[in-house]
Amino acid sequence: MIELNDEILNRYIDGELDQATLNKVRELLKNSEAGRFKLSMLQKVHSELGKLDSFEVSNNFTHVIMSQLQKKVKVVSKDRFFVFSISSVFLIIILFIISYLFIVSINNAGTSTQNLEEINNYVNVIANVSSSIKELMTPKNISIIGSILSFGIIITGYLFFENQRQARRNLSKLP
Amino acid sequence: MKNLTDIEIIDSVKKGNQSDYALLIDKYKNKAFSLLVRMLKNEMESEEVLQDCFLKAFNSLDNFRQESKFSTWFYRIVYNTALTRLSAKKRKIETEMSSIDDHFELRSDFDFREAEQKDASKFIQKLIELLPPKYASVINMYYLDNMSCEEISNVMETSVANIKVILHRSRSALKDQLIKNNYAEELL
Repeated sequence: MIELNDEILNRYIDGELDQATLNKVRELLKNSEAGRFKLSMLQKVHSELGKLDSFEVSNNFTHVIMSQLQKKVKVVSKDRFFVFSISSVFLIIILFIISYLFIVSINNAGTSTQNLEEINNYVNVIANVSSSIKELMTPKNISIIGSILSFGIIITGYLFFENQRQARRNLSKLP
Repeated sequence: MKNLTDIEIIDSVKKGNQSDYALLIDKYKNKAFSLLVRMLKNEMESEEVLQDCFLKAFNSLDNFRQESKFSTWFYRIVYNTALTRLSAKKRKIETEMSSIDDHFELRSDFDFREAEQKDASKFIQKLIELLPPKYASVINMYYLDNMSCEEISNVMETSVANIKVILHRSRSALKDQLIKNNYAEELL
């Protein structure tokens, strides 16, 4: 049994009813003044909503956003330049050290026995350091070192997060 | 003014012609602004939120996969930003967001002196301001932006059936208020 309620009338307005239901609704509407009244009111609401007012932004809206974007792009490119220059400096220093070591090794190429002794000395030093580290690595010490490291990581993370937030705040303050 | 499609404009912006983004702004600013005003009920705040939305969209253009229309994608940003703003302001929106089955009662606190002017159109416009944000946004997208229920469901990330229910309930609520405030004779 179909009832002429708001739901069915709304679907009638939107053309969502199948043919059989549509015929029944039409039949019911013929005999129901209350149904016709309800339908007319819903149709009026539907047509009035079609005349809905639009709101308009201020005149310089587009200009404001575009200038904000341009400033942001400038900041990003400045940051990129900074990172690039710092990385370049580090790269140059590393290249300089490698080439220095290379030149030194070429100059000392004749004294191979001396080199072997030096290498042995270095290996001994490394072995001593690793054995002393091994002695230090008791469960108690590991937990202490772990706690210190965790604390350090948390503090670093917090500072990094704060720094990011401050940077974002500064960006959003840009006119 | 260049006559480009949204996709062409986006491609151009991605290639480095940032000034072309102004074309997208000009195209969608008033439509998105209307949606925001109807949700936030405040023009100044809406303009501020809209600026934020355009900046967000610009920064996320690389994430736009062209699986949907730009308008749908952008409206989703606008709608979600408005919801975030509303919850940040601690308005009691949780009840509206929880379920479509929740009922709302459209209380007309419309000034009776204005009602005496017997202008049904103005009355309806005023009543829309009283609709909850979710309902007002559906009405705005459906009637002002001529979006289909499918598109609106993509924006609001809900089912098409829910959108239809919201639409029908809004119409019924407005109809009830018109009858209650004796506008029937004028309209019929």
